[in-house]
Amino acid sequence: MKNKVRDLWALFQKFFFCFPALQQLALMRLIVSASLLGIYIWRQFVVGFYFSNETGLVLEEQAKTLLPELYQPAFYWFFWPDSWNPWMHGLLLLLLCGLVLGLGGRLWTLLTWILSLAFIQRNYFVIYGADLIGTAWLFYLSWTRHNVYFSVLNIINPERVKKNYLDIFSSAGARIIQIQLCIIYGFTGLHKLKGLSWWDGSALWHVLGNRQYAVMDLSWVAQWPLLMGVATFTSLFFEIYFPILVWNQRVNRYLLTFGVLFHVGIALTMGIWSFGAIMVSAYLLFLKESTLIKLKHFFIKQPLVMSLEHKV
Amino acid sequence: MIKAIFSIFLVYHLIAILSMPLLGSILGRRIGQFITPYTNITGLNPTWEFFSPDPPVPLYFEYIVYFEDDHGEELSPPIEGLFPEDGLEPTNNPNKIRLKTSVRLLALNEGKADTVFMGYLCRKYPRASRVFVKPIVEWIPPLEKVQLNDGVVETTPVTTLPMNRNCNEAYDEEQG
Repeated sequence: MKNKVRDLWALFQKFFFCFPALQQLALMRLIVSASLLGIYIWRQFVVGFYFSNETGLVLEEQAKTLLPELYQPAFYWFFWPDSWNPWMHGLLLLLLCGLVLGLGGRLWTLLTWILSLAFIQRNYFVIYGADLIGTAWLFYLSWTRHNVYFSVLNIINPERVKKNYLDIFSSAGARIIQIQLCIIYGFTGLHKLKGLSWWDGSALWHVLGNRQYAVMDLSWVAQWPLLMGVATFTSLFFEIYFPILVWNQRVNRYLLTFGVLFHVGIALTMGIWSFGAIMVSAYLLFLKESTLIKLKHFFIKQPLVMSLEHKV
Repeated sequence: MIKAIFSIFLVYHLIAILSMPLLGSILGRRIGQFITPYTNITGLNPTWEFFSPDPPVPLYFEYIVYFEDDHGEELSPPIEGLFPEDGLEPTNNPNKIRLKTSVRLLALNEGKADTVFMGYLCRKYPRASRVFVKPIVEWIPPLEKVQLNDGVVETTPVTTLPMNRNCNEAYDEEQG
């Protein structure tokens, strides 16, 4: 019994504390912060409408009761008065800029996460998937040393990149992102099984035929009902089986490739590019560093020296 | 020591994020009180129900803002509008995409269209006496029906329970 517990503990440690993913985390941080920065720059223009008591959609007091009681937090992160919102939102943009450049570390990311979450809590009615998942990724990234690579600080001090030791928090953070991604896909797929349109194969038609969600008139897709049916079931199977198949090294490259195409499809038809980028950014953690190097060569077409050594 | 404490936190965190989508179940109800304080504060409380159980239907609000005196006499012409302002027009603008989400949440959460949206209209037009809001749902025809109709998509706009609100705090709801 003692041995079994010891084995389990060793397995737990190996899984959570020995996962070398600093480069993947750095690239993920770059994509997540750039995507959030993109949509939040747009949001800066309507801060008054989204987050103000006078001209805004939701009053501060209403904001605290929008969610059912079970989901209401014990305290809210928007501790400043509404009149500060344009400035605090501006600060969020600055912090995100810093993350894109790799200037900030854990504390910086934690502060960015708090601000991002505060604006989510201030008005739950104007958020969508990109906000929720992007903010969750910021939380996990704040556990990690995500700015060892892809940081402008490395231009100033090239020696910095040599300090690429892996700590338990970075490793665990990367693992938790992997698991969280599986939970998101798995439960999204399972929840869909409650819907009739996902069973009869017409769900995708109801998405693409929805003038309000599609970026253009896509009603012509109704000419291909079979394609709609196949695409509906394919996306359903992809989401439900993602949490299982992604851990299999033999199939995960096909699964992740399909996932990228899946999100590109969503972005092309529904215009939510940031959501796709934020979801796909977490795929990087399922890639081996050697695959990442190959991908870099493919996209950048120049030899890049990247150290594969990590001190645990 | 740090490793041990962090491991305990990790196990707790894993239980929390795995249980959150199951909060409505027997399991979730039992352990909810131990995990929701953490997940609610960290924003890890979504139940991940994108496009479920079914994809959302096209939805918007038609509203009329009236400016009348105490006797119901019109002081100035009413203002009519849509929310989102371009109704069902397709868009790439992230801010407009947000409004599509908000109109759905306002309509689906009981009482929110009234307290939140109509309250907003009253604040936006301080001289308004009352506002009238009509949620419009556009039903998308089934694929087979489109096939039978030679590929022509005929959507059906349906008005759901219209709402009336007195801006002078004397709350009044009318249906029909």
